Amino acid sequence: METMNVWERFNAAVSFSEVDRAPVFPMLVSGAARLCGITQGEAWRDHDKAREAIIKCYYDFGYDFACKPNFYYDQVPGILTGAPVRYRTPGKKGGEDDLIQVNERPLFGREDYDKLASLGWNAFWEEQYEKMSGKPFSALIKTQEFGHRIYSEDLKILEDKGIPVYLPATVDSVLMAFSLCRTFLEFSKDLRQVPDKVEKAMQASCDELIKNTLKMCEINGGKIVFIVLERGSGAIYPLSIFERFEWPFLKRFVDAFVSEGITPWLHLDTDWSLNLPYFKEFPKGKCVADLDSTTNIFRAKEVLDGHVCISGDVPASLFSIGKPEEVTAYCQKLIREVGKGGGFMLTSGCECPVDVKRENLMAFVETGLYYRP
Amino acid sequence: MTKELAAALADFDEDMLLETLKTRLESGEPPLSLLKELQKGMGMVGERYNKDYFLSDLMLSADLFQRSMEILAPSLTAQTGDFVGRMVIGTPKGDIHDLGKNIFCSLARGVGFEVMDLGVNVPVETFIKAVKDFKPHLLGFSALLTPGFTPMKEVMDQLADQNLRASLKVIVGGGVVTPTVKEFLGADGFTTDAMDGLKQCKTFLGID
Repeated sequence: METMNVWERFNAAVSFSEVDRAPVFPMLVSGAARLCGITQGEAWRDHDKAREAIIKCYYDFGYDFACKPNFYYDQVPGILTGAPVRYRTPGKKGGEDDLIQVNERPLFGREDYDKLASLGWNAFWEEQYEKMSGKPFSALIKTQEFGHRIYSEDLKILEDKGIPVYLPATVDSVLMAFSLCRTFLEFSKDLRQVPDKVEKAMQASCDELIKNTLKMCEINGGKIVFIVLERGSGAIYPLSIFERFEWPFLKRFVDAFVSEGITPWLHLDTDWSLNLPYFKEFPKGKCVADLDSTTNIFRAKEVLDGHVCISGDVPASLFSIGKPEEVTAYCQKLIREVGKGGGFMLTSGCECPVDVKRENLMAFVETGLYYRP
Repeated sequence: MTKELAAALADFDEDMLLETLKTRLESGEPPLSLLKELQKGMGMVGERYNKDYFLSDLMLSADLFQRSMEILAPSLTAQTGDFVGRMVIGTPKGDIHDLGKNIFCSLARGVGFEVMDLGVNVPVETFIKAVKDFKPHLLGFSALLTPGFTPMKEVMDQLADQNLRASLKVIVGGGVVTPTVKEFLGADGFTTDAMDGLKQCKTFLGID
C-alpha cells in the first residue's frame, strides 16, 4: 500500500530514508511521440502535440514523474548551461522519424582557450557565438529565452493536471561542455598537448556554469539539476585526467547545488566503475547517480550504498527488443538487490528508447508499482 | 633523432610520426614495410589498452593511423597488401554516430584487415550490395541507438534470403548492444568495446 506522494518518495529515496516503494519512472521523451503515433518530426514541429503525447503516456502508464514537459533543444532550455551545440533535427536535417542528434563540430579552436580563460564562460560566448555560427549572440539568447518561456508554460500545464516533472534544469559538466565544444577527438588531443590551457579555461568557466544553472532553478522553481556526464568516465580517460579535469569541477557543482537545497542528478553515461569511489566524498544522502546500464549497477550499490542514491538502469535494448517477462525479471532483480535498504529509483538506463514496446514499458512500471520482495 | 614509426604512433608522438613517415617514404623506402611498422604501432596500442590506455587513447591512435594512411595510401595503390581478411562495416540508417566505428576501422586496418567503411546512416540495400560486391569475410554493424536494430535485422534477413549469410561472420558493436541484440539479429558476436570486437574478428578468422 502506498503511503507517500511522489515527492516524499523521491526525497526519501535520495536521503536513504524509508520508502513505501522505490520511485519508478522512465526518461521518456522521443518514445512518447512514437507511442502516441506521431513522428519525431511532427513532435518537433507541433509543440502542443508533443506535450500531449508526454501527458498521455503519463496517464496511460501511471509512473511517478514525467521527466520533462515537452521536446526542447538542450535537455531543458537554459541560458548558457552547456555547449551551444548544433542539432540534426528530425524532419529538417534529419529524417522525418529519426532521433534528434548532435551535429558535433568544433565550436571554438585550440587558440581560443586563452580568451576563454580571461573572459569566462558567458563573456566568451558573447564574442565567440557569431564567429562560430554566423548568427549574432543576441539570437542565441533570444532562442534560449524563448525556450525558457515555453518550458514554463508547458510546466504549468502539466502541474495544473497534477503531473509532477522532475527535470527543471540541466547543465553539462565542465569536461562535457568543453568536449562538446571542441569535439571528442580534438578535446582529447588538447588534454594531452595543452593541458594547462584547458585547465585555466575550465577554472574560468565553472562558476558561471553553476550560476547560470542556479538561475534556471530559480526561474523554474525546481529542486533538481540534471548534470550531463557522458565523457569523463574511467572507461574513456585515466583517473589522472578525471582527477584534474572532471572531479574538482564536479565537486564544485555538487557542493554549490546541495548548499542551495538542490539535488544533483548525476547522469552517468558510459562505464563509471573506476570513478564511483570518488562519489563517496559527496554529501551523504544528497545526490543521485543515474546509471545507463554500462556501469555495473550491482557493484555500484556495493560502493555507494548508504551514501549516494542510485537510479537506473533498465537497458534500452531490453525496452526495445526484449520480452515483457525479461523486463519484469530484470526490474525485480534491481528492486531486490539495488533497492535493498533504500536509496534506489527504478528508471530507464539513459533515455527510454524511441522504439520502446508498449508492453515492455508497462511491465517496467507495473513491476515498480507492485513488486515487493 | 628519429624514432621508430611504431613507437611514435603508440606514444602519440604526432609530429615525429608524420614527419618521419614522409621523409622515409620520399627517400624511397618500400611503402609496404612502412605500413607494417604502423601496424606494429597499432598492435602496441592494443597491448597497452586496458592497462595504461583508455578509449580516448584508442581514438587518438585511430586518428593518427588514419592520417598516416593518408600519406601512405597513394604509394600503396599499386601494391597488393597481404590482408588478413576483408570486412564491411557501417552504422545503420537513422544513426549518425561514427566514433566507435571509426576507432574500430583503424584498429582493424592496423592489424591488416581490408575494411570497406560504408559510413553512417547506411540503408539496408547498401549493406547488401557491399556484401555482394566486396565479398567480405566479416560484416560489422555499429549502433548507438536502438532504431538501428530493425534495419540491421532486415540486412540479416536479406542476407539469409539471398544465401549470403553462411559465408559471413557478423558482429555488432556499440553502446546499446547486449546479448539480447546479438540474439535478435542472429549475429555471431557482439561487443561494446572496439578492442574486444577486433579480438573476436580475429578469432572468427583463426588469426592469433
